[in-house]
Amino acid sequence: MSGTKRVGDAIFGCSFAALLLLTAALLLLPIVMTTIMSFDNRDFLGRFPPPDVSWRWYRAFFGDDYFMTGLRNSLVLSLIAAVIATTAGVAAAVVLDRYEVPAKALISAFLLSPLVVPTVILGFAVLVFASLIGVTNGFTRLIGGHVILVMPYTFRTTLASLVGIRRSLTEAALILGANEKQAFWDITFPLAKTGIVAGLVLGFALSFEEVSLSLFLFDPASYTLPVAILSTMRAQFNLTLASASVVIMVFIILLVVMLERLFGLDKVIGSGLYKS
Amino acid sequence: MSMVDVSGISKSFGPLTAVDDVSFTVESGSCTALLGPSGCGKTTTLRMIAGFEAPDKGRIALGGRDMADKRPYERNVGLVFQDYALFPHMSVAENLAYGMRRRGVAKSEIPERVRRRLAQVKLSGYEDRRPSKLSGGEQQRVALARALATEPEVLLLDEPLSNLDAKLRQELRGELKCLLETVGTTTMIVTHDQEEAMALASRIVVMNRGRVEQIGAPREIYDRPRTRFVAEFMGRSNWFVGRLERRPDDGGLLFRGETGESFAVDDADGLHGPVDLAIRPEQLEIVDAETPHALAGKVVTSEYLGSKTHVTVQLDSGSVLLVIFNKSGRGEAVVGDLIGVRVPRDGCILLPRSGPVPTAPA
Repeated sequence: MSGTKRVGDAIFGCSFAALLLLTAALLLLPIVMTTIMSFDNRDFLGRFPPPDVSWRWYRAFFGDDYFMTGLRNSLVLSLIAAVIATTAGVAAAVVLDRYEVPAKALISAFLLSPLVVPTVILGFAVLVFASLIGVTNGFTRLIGGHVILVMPYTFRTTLASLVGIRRSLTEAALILGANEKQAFWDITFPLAKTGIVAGLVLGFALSFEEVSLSLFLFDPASYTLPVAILSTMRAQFNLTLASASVVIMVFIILLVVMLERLFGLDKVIGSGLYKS
Repeated sequence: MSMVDVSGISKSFGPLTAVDDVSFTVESGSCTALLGPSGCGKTTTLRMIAGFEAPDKGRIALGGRDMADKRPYERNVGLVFQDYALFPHMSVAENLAYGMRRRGVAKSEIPERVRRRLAQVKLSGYEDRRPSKLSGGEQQRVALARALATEPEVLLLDEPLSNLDAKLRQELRGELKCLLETVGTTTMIVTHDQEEAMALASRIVVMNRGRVEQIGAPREIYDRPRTRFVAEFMGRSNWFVGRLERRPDDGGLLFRGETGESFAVDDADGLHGPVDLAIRPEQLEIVDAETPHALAGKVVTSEYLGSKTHVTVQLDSGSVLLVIFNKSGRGEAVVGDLIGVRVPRDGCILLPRSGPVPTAPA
């Protein structure tokens, strides 16, 4: 009897490993292929693999004003949106975690709701709202939309790190002579810093790569890099897109590595709620 | 002069009344314990004195000044938290310096005062360590030094020894007592451990269900509890239910138990009629079976515990008594022996009849 059990176990184990491998392959292959193709030396989109490699598409990308404006816009937009969203997220998290507030769960759910609203709907809603209140500037619209999009992440990471900070630490600061503001800056903030910075970086990365929301909100003077890539794809499909994608990818990877180096990614995303 | 003056404070959290009309005073330079089981309101009382909670009713004065609407940082109170609450991102020295900085002590004075306080708790040389690198006992002493560093009028200790293991607790209790006496600050200790309260405090406020049950010196509380709760909380007792009567021979008081025991007792604050009677196990004396006026019975169990022996005796009336005597005390008790138990007249705790009696010696 135990023989059959063993065989069953082995089959299950093998198919599980196979499934994992397949999933990983599906995730990685397109990225790997794109990266390789971005070094293709041919003028046209030819067969894989490229017969010859060069930096030409990277030169094309960095030499293109259209892309460069998009890149600059994206960097500025993501930075502003991440900073605003972090400030607001931290404020909301501190109030919800540290003070007696009615309907805590409801407010928290509301602040996290952009996570479940499709970005298409969010984009449309922000566009309509902006025109109703008379905001016609594309960049302002983009900032508004991206702040809403990113805020749940900054709010959540801050909240997770605040939960780990014992209330008695703040009380100790108060009884030792600090007022509430001093207690926050002396004790709570330094201890929650990890989560706050993580939220900032994560927010920046998410905003930087967001496309569907931006499609609703951009105007010809202020478009983001992902929007530029999408428009180019429709107009003239060439391998500049591959190099642009690789540039974005490398940039995001660098951010994540930086996060990991500074704080440990595990600590930032995972265990926040459970540390003592 | 009383340094802490709490009068008639109450506090509710929603439907739960945590503290109900509590009043007491603490003399300047003395040490008082708030003693009671968990949920009795002692910690809430402490938090109101510290200023973390505002009383719904009543008044708290520290050093003669009314503390209504005063934030914690506007009171000159030191607090040692149960979890010590040491700032994990600061060194020991920075932890100690924090309060002094925030209370406006001159920068140039701080290092010297930090050094002195650390020496006082025997942690010289620990300045640069992180709290996480310290043992529980060391953390406790840093917390104490930090609380004392701001030279508070009143020092509050919230279950100061409860996070330590039993052996260390005893050791640190002695050290803590010495330190508190040296410093001479008015101190309040919140604890659920009656031994801790008796060892450290000169006065004990016993609390139960948000109310004060009794206030007094440790000896008074233990020997002359005024309520059944206090008697039971302060230590083990043998309980009898019965009546007080006049003795026909000399007119003194005689206790007549419902289960048939009777013995002479001393004065009882004018009590007569139905009473509850408690006798501490160490007050009872095991004597020969034939001794007059002793309660006759049989030894059921005998536990030799080194410094003392616990003996349970089943009386002829059916009641079971716990007797504790120390090593140097009277004789041995062998299981199965027929013996007598003598009740000393002045060793009984008499209380007006209350609820049902615990079945076994509690």
